[in-house]
Amino acid sequence: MNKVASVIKYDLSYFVRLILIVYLWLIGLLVGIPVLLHLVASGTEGMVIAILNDLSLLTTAALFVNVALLFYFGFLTYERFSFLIQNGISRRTGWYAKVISILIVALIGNIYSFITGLFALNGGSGYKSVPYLELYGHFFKSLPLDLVSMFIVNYIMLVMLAVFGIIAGAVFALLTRKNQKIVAISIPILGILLLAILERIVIRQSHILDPLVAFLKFAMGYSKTLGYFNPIIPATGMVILIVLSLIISRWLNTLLRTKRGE
Amino acid sequence: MKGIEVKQVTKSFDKKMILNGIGMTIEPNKIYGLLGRNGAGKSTLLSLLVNRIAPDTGEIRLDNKVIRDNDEQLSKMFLMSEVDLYPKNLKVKDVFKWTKSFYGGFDEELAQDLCEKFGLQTNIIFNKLSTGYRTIMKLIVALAVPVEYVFLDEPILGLDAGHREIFYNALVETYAENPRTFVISTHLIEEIANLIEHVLVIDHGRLIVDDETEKVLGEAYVVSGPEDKVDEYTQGLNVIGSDKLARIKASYVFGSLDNKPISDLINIDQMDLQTLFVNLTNGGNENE
Repeated sequence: MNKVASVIKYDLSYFVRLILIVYLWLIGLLVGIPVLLHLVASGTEGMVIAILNDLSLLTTAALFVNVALLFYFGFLTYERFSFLIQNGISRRTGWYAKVISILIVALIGNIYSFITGLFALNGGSGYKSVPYLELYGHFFKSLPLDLVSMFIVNYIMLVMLAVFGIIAGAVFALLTRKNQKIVAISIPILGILLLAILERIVIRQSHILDPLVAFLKFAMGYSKTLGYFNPIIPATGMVILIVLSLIISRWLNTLLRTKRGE
Repeated sequence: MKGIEVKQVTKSFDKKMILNGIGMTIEPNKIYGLLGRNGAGKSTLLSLLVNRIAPDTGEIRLDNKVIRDNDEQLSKMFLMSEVDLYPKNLKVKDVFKWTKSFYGGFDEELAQDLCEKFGLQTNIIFNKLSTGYRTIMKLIVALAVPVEYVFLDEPILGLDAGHREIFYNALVETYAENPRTFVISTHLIEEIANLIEHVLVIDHGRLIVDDETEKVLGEAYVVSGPEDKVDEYTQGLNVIGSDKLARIKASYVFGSLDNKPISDLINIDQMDLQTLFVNLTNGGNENE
């Protein structure tokens, strides 16, 4: 087995196990427990509707969980780098393997998300029960094409978030332990502060944010002429971001080093 | 050429120069002793050799190929270091498993045998091992991994006398069965003095000794006797330190004695490695 394959096997042994555990918890919490409660409270009456409602919630939850997990997998850097360099694995091989592992895990996450989406779609509320279809479901005007585009665009989005995670993780790994603590504390505080400022601006002078809203709409593929969202625009934008982010992440990867006394 | 070539390597941390223009060659199938005081730069040098960190200037090659980002070269080396680079939640047996996977081999029989001798349980999580047993686990990996160059940085940290004995025996046996290069960095010089064939001494970031142990010790003398006679004899020689008790003096000479006539009142003995090291890195101090 070559080195890249060995590292992918190592990565997946952790990533896949964790992602499957989280999915099982998700199904248990969002479907299993509500179904049990329904059975206890009302018996089998209205059970199908209750399950379908739960599946719709599961689809949205799966999307958020995938986003969080993929970013987390991308973010994991220093401990992995230390272990690999201890075992004679170069930074380059570690990086290649991580990118491939992320592509595989994103695919698993996307398949899960897709399957829960299909269940929710058949649940009765139609496109409104699936976040992607609610937004981009008018573009192709064909269910098979909408489903294919949903799979592809969601996959690209997960990969992009994971690559952002790789960059964030590499930057974090390059900081000293003291600076890591400072960043970990200050980023949430700055985030809350920024949100508070934005909220005030929106309340007092909402038109200031108009250009930002217009840009976000454009980035998400909204077309005034069509009157609905075009998934090809965000997909293209995300692919460009992925390529740029991969170049940056590889450069950051070359700077990784073991820390003194850690 | 076969071996590791270190060419004019420098490394600084926080603007402090740790290694200053190190140049040396590490040959195949030899046991090296890497000696130096605390902070001399030994661990930094070893980390550079396996590309854990990158030099500021200079270059390191193995078998004529640059080691940086080179899997083929990196997989020929293993550094067992003081710092723990293993995932905290990994079990010992999983460390063995992944080491085998990454290096493409692992002497499981030897590892099993050593685990029994040391009393190391492989079902335990690495993070839950004591300092001594962490060292033991790392030593076992270092001896069982199929590489040409093994670097041992403080390999006996936290080991009791019994465990040190097991380690030295295992090292000698495995070296006899499968000769490869070992570079051992330790403060317990007396314990490894008989093992090492080549001595490397680092002092203040510079390599001050790089030679065969036999040759180095062959040029290291203790000249003792009455102070005035010793001073007279050692005048013009490379005196690296001295000890004095009342009017009796012992001067440590490193280098040729220039065939000087020896007075009946003085004794000349060979110096041991530890004494040589202490005096070489002591700045020629006199101890009274």
